[in-house]
Amino acid sequence: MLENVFNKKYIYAGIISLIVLVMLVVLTMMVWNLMREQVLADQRHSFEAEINLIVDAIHNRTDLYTNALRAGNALFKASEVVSRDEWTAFANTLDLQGEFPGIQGYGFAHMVDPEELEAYIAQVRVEGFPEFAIHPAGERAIYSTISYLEPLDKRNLQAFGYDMTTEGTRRSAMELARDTGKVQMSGRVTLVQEIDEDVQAGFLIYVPTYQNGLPTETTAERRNALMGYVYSPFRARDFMEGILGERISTVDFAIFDGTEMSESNKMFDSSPTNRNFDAYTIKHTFEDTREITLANRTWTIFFTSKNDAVQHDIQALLPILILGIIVAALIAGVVFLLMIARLRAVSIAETMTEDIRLKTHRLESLHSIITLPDLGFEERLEKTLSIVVSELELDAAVVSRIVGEEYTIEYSVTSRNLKLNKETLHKLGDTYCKETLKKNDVVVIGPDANISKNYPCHLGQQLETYIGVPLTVDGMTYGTLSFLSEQKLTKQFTEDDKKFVQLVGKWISRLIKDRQIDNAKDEFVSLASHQLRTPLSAINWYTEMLSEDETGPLNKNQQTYLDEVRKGSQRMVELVESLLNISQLDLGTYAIKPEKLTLTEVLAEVIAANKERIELKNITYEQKVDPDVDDILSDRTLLNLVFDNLISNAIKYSHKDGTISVTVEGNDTDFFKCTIKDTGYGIPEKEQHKIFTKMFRATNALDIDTDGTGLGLYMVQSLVGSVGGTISFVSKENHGTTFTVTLPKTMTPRNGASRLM
Amino acid sequence: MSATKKVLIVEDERPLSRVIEKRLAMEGYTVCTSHTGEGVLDIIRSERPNFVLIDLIMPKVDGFEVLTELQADTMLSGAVVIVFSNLTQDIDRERVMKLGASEFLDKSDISLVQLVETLKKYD
Repeated sequence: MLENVFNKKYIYAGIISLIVLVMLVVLTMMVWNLMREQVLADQRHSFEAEINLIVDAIHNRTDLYTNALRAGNALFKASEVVSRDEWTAFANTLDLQGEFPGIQGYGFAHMVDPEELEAYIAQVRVEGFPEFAIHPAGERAIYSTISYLEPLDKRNLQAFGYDMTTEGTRRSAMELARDTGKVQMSGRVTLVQEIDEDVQAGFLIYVPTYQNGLPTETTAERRNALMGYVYSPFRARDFMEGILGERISTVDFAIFDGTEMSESNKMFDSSPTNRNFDAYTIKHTFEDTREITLANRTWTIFFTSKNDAVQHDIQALLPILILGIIVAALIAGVVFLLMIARLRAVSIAETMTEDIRLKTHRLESLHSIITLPDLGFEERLEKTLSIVVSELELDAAVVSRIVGEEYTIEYSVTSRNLKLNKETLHKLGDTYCKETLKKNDVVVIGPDANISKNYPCHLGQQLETYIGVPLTVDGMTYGTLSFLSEQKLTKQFTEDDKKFVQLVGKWISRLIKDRQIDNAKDEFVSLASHQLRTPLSAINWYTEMLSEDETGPLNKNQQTYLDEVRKGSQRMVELVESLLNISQLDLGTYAIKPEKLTLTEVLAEVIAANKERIELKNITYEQKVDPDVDDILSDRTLLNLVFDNLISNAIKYSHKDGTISVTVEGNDTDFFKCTIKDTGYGIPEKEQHKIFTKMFRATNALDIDTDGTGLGLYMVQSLVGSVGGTISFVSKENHGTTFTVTLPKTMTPRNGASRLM
Repeated sequence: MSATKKVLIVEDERPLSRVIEKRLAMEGYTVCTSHTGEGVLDIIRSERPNFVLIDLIMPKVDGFEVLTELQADTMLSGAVVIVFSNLTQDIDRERVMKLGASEFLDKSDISLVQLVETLKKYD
């Protein structure tokens, strides 16, 4: 059962801890997510910044090249004719390699009419290029030829003499430039300069150059005035590397010519992986697409975050998450342990409180019996034993007297159906009680005890449960106090049970000792009174014999003296009787044996016994008994002693011809009230306070009568008090005395002295 | 009186046994005495008294023991047992009556006349 309680507590603590754990984990994850979002936002911000940086750089670089081309155009505007040498010098001045990284070339393409073709070719050949030809060959309405191109290295030599209008992409760019008069970028092309394996996408930028002096306001005028193009070819990757330089970017991007993102349009891809944009599905944390216009041409740039970098930052947060969850688990664990500890503490406290309550209850029960007044030995013992039997939930309690091998039950309390063989003397034998005496300590036969012994008075059978202590009276082994059951108990006897039984054992030893002392006193009084009476019998009987005629007649004086001897002897008998009664009252061994009586009948007996003396003094006796309280359940001897003493005192201390009135009244209580009123000498006021003390004799009474014992009133008071009654008096010297006695209508029986002899 | 009645007095106090013996003899009883409870049963067997007048407190073997033995011996149940003692408490009286006594007399409270009257009840 205890386990169940603990299990429940574990479940309870477990649930609470789990709730704490879940809450803390959720909190941790929320915090982690916030941080993650913050990191993402930062990264998004960096991403956007990087994109802007790249876009700006492309714009700037393009503007730079455009300006270089415009400068070339300006050269043509400034002079009538720009010679090859002048162009070379101009280009060298621009420092193409140093100031314009990524530029493939810086050239000029002349427009040549078919009729001037031969002259033109001849002139170029004269200028030092004997191989020069316009290629591809073929007849056309107008020719364009790359005539100046710096630097004229191996790669650019491929383009030298090339007619760019023969290729659609270039031609449309050139025509646009011609018609608008503005800088124009071409679409994606493969440059003629591509002579090795590493073929890159490329593009060109054209600036139209018009004949000086011709109008260029309208498209038609511009077409008419067109002289050629200052242009530059670009390899896309070289162009971008020129822009980016050595810088490692945190983004990847792909540039497409036009607005469509496809492999055929792709100009450049910074991603090292081979991305195919015709079937592009990869998702990145951040993606952005920008359309920019460069030299009248639209480029689409697709930016993606480098997933590694994003993931790295997110992963950097992972320890926070893990740590958070570990801390949450630790806190939940601590909560669990604390709760278990607390629940255990509460449980232990409850058990302890229960223990204390139990102990207190037991001690209070014992105390209530110890302090109960007017309880006979056996009653007190029985109540004590009953309490222990019920507290320990057993069947019986036995106080045994053990002398040598002889075992007798002195007192016992049994419940349920346990049968004890109380009468016979038993042999101690191999029993629990013998074990108890041998150990001289508490012996416990509980549910798991392995001692197979018998119990002497239980018909020699084995009992399942036993707890016993030895009883020691005056340092001598007296016997055992044992508590038994036929049933196997489900629980063990506790240390408290043992201590409780030990305590009770001590208390009962004490009771037995007190009892022995009382018995010894009683014995002494009884024997003393017996020994005193025996010589009195001799005196009585021999005086009686003397009075008989057998010994011869006595003279008058002899007769008188003999009467005095008899009276003295009679007083002595009464005195001894009173002493015996008083001793028994003092010892609490005065027996009460209630029987059905009427007060009228008891009073009549007393009056009859005193008849002679009433008549002698000519006393008027009045009696009034309330019929409602006449029937009582009372002790005849006790009532006789009380009334006889009071009435004979009234007679003794009455004047001749006096009156004695006895009145018995009832009231609503369980008591009746009896007043005995005389009109006699009364008790002197200064002596009234000690009339109930032993051997009291009123000084005025001594003059009148000398045969009082001085024990009468003391005895009456003791007798009345012993049954819960009261006695009081009112007296005035020479006017008389009134005694008032209250006694219970119903007395409870009480055992008297039991003899040890 | 048709035949002489025999009374056995068992009393350790010799003055008491003497005065009772004298008084009963006056009344015409045959009296024998024992001053101890010891051997009383043998005397009863041999003398066959009509009455056994016995005290309780005596040295060696007391009245209670004699009564117990007497009760156990059915052969001797013919005699009227009268206990007279100064042990006058109710408890003693009850014990004696249980042990088969016919009368219990308070030694210090009865006169010899009353004793004789008691015996005569059984004539």
